[in-house]
Amino acid sequence: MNGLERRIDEAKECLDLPLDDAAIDRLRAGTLARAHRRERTRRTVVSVAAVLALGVGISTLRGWPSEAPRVATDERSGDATRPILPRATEVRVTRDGRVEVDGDATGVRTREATSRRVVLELRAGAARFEVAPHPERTVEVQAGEARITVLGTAFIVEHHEAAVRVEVVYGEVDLDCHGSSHLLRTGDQRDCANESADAPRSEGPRDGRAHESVLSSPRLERGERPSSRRRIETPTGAGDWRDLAAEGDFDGAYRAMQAPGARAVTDHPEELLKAADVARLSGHAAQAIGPLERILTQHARDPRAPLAAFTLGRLHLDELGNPRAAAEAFALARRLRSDGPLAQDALAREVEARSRAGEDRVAQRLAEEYVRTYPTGTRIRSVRRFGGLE
Amino acid sequence: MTAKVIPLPRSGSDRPAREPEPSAPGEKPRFDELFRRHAAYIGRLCVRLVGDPAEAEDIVQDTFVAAIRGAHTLEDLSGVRSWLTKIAVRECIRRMRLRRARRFIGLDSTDAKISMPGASPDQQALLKQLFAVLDRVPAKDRVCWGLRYLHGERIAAIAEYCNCSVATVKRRITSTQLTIEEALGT
Repeated sequence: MNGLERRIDEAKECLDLPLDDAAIDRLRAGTLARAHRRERTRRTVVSVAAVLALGVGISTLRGWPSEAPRVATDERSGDATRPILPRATEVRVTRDGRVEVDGDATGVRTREATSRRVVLELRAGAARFEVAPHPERTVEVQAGEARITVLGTAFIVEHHEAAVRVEVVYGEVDLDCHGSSHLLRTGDQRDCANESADAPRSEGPRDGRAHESVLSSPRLERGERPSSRRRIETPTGAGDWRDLAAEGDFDGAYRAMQAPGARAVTDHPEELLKAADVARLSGHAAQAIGPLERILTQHARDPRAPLAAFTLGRLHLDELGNPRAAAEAFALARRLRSDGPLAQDALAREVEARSRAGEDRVAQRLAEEYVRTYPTGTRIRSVRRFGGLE
Repeated sequence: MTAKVIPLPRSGSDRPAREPEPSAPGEKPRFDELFRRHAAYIGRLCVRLVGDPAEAEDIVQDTFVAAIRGAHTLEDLSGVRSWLTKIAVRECIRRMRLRRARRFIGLDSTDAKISMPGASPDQQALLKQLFAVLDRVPAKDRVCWGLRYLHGERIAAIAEYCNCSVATVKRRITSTQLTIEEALGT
């Protein structure tokens, strides 16, 4: 063995691809997604070839949708809402009632879209929903026997043959399962069976980790959830603003918070988050900054701190027009919990914020990180767009 | 009515999430089991052939996608790793050829990133130079050399993975070795 061979022999031991359990899970999910996509493409190609060979027009062939997607119209804006497609698709309901879709799939429909109510149906597959809060509009997602009423949040719904799984990324949803109501908060996950059979309840993993499940379709990217949720007991005889907020009357809650003699917002992360929500949802976005920043400065170790940072980022980006401040907030959300359920979204939104702030090189670098870390991420399209990777 | 909630089906056992339930003897392996047992090995193989970790991960996924589609052809269960290696090697060759073609017509002028955790600065420099040279070598020659000197495979096994004779493997390895020594010295 000559000198070069000896040096190569020593150096080759450093050529490695360390794959921990999380990376294996990610690659496994990516592999299944890729296999499904290619099978769908193969069927489409075969179908098109068959049509051309027969010399006939478009017909109902295997793998093609059996009916045209329905389109509903927003009464207030008059804009037609586009049909939305599932399979790890991202669905956004904007503040002005538009339903936007990132991605494609074939299992989600808009059943209703008015100024007061938006109803979406997930017939199959998986989709990530993000709903801009609006005090006068309810948003509901129907999937199988589950009815998810949105209270200003982002959540994931997977509709499988046996059950519908709902996981809340941030915010709150009310899940109606076979007539029983369940309030799910950030990090909560619940299954709703599609059959009326006795079965053990599933409240979420005991060890704080996401369920491993053998699914025929790929799961959306998710990370660890907080291992425990510390519930803060509000003082007895809590002031009216808290009650009004719990009832969804955010305008009333905001007025109550300002009223002379009102009980002050206590310095607990849960209450500070509520106060920020009241300010945001009553149209006083700038007033939400204080409580959120308080959480980050005084309660940075609290499990809710990443959510506070993320919410702050959204405020700055979506409502206050401060992309640079938003980018810092999203970056902080990731630093506080790099493996949490918000990390993927925080990175995606930081890409957008950096791009809007004119920091194109940073946006590109972060976009590359996103594509590398979450190859089947739900925001991959927008990340590629804002990161200049298209 | 009380809400009925059930966890989505797993493998039907209480096995911890990270360990796939093994197939019964003689049964075709489940995808999860196949993936967890062999993905790390295939990943290591690919990164030693192509260098770039992102590309290696991509090839791992393509390998197992091909495995899903071709699972019905797998008869000898004891040869699963060898079967997967052949698929991965084929995919590595395809991507190397594509990359060379893109470089030839000027569509790709960037150097591949190399995954070398724990390498000293000297080793990093050597590996970068080595892969820069390998980028100019025909893909089949490069793969034979890489399997031999970076992955430590026997000549007979390389012949099986590359679907060629032992003599051809030796010729390709020698040709690549000469190119490397001309570029980097001995």
